[in-house]
Amino acid sequence: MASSRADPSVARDNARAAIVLVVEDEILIRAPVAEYLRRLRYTVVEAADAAEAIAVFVSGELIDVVICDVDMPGTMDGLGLARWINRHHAALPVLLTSGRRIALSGGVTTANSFIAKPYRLAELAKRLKSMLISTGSATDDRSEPEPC
Amino acid sequence: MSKALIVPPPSTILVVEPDILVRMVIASYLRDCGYTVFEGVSAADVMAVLGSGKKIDVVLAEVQLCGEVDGFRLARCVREQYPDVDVILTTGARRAADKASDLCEDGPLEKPYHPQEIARRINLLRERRRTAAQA
Repeated sequence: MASSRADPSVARDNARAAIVLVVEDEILIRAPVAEYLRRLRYTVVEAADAAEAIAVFVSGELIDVVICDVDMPGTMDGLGLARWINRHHAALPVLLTSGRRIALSGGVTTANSFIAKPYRLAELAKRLKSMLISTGSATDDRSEPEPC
Repeated sequence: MSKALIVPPPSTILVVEPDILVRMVIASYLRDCGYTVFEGVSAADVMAVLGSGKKIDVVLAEVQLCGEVDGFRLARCVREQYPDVDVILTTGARRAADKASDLCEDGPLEKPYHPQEIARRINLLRERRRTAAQA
């Protein structure tokens, strides 16, 4: 039986892994990002466009942070998705990505952040961790995965 | 001299399913089984991943895919261009069983299917490959 004074490291291990929703239509970008984050022990949900991302939210899936490409096909781009998330899940941080400079305005709040493509996966992970710590969703130290 | 026991690495599976809620469940289940899983929505995704040189052991594809190429045509393309890659098709259409029999090892899995059936099929394919390689 576990002691009532839980070892913090045990508590960390037992804590739910942060859940990241990666929204990116290019599979050759989405797959390596998702794989990298899983090696860092995040739980990752993948969506190929804004409609899939919204379906994930509507299904009740718990999401802690969203990484979202701005330029995606379909009726809603990444900025539109960020606005939708800001309206329905106000405290949920969104990290937007694009190969072009994006002006965050028009309903896209300061809970959102931006990382320019191409980005290093380590930099993405660092930004993600920082966003999760800001929202109180991350307490552990996720070290870089060991090189293959 | 006896051969050393070589444990093959876990299979890498590319799950191609346009319904994200189904895809999430299947992919998550397969990861829990120890597989490396990539997720796609269309035949174009499959060809992009295979063309990138990524080692994929099994493509698990819905027959009705996004885009112009359905699962049957995808299976044919994969067989022609990447014969080492196994294909498992899934479908809600009963009559698709006949069409698919020559394309994938055991005919398509009809939905709804239990994720355990997917894992069973994949293990069967791996065993067949291993046996064929040793023959």
